[in-house]
Amino acid sequence: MFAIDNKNNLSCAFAEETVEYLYGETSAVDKNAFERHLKSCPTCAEEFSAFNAVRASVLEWRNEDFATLASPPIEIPYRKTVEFNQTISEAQPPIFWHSRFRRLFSLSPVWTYSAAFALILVGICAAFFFLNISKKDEIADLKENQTIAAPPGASTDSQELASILTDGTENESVNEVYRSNETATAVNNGKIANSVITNKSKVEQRNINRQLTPHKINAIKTANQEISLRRTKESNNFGNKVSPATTNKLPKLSNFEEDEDKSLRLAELLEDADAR
Amino acid sequence: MVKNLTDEQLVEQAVNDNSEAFGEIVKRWERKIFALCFGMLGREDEAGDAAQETFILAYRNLKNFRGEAKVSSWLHRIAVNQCLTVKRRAKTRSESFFDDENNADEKVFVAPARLSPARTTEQNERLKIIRQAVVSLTAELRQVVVMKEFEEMTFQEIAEALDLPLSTVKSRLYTALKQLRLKLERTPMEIV
Repeated sequence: MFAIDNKNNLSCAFAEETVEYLYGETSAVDKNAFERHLKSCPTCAEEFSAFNAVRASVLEWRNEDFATLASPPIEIPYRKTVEFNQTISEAQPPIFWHSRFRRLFSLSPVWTYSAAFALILVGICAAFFFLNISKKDEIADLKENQTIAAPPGASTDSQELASILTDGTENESVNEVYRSNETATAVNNGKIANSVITNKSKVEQRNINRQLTPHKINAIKTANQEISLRRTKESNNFGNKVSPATTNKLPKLSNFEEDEDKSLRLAELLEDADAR
Repeated sequence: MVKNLTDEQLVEQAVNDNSEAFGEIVKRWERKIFALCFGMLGREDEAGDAAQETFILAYRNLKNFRGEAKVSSWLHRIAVNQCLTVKRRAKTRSESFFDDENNADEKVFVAPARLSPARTTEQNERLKIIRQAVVSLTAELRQVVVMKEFEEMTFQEIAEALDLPLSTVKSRLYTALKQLRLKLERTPMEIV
């Protein structure tokens, strides 16, 4: 049976069967049927014969030009991977953690910029943090170094007292000397009990007079006078007149807690001095 | 170890940077892909380039491979596209007139892929004509002929590779054979 295609050409209705039979991909039943058809249809037989010739030509071209060709080498740009084979890892130097960071940052400049920005930010925050801490420390030191108002007649400047009693030097480090109204004022030519208090208890205001003898009170008064005289001299040297009233006006401690006073009591010191 | 794996399993391993697995895929399919490229392009050098590009593209797009189609189909599709790309480039450069049916009658031919002194001139001419006839087919018809004759694939395999119905593959092959018959009968040559 024939059909006319869109180009007015005769086209066998057995087109699919023809190619199937030509390439040997037909079942046994279909093969017998097609062979019977070929015998009865000269057009299909002629077409089948022509297709056989064409196929032979193509195969000849394949066998002559292609079959003897060697396949070209195929080179694949494989991604480099680090193989942690035991033998390889032994031969190669170990990969350090910082080299991985370097590899990470080398992947893209965005990483580098982000890391730099993060570092700057951390630095700024750290600077603020430490600044705040140092300010707090300064305030704490200031509070600790403030003296409290001493009762009249009592020495309120233990630092200066101590300096007078120790050959008048004011340069000794008394950062850890806490002002106490009971610091030693015994006249002992420099030998006073070391009233440097190493513990950091806060100063309490005590009534020195309650346990002092008149003799001791006079000694303290004498010491105070000497201190004020010295201050007057110093202020005159610097051209600043400091009135005794102002010299005695030291900042008051405020809101301090009463802790257990572990320092040596003035009374005890004076008793020692008397005993000697 | 990789020799016992299927193509799909090899691709799965190759996705995880197993170069040995992809190497096995290349080993299995390089000849057939090269045959396809040779049949499509007719030239050894162009066919070699197209085959190389096919596998490189396949390697780069491993992650895009979905398990819906076979690996062979996937490779064939890439190869056919590569051949068409090479053909377009060649046409732009005006080095070849194979694809231009109008120029088929002109007596300007690209030198044959391989000239053997043992072959007669007549044989060389005949092969030249056949090559020209095949390469002058449209891409749709050419790839079916080449896959059938050069790669010796079944109709079912061709249908899967090109994602076409079985009947379409057979009808295209029938049409291609008819056109080749006309072209070869037009040119005086002795068909063996």
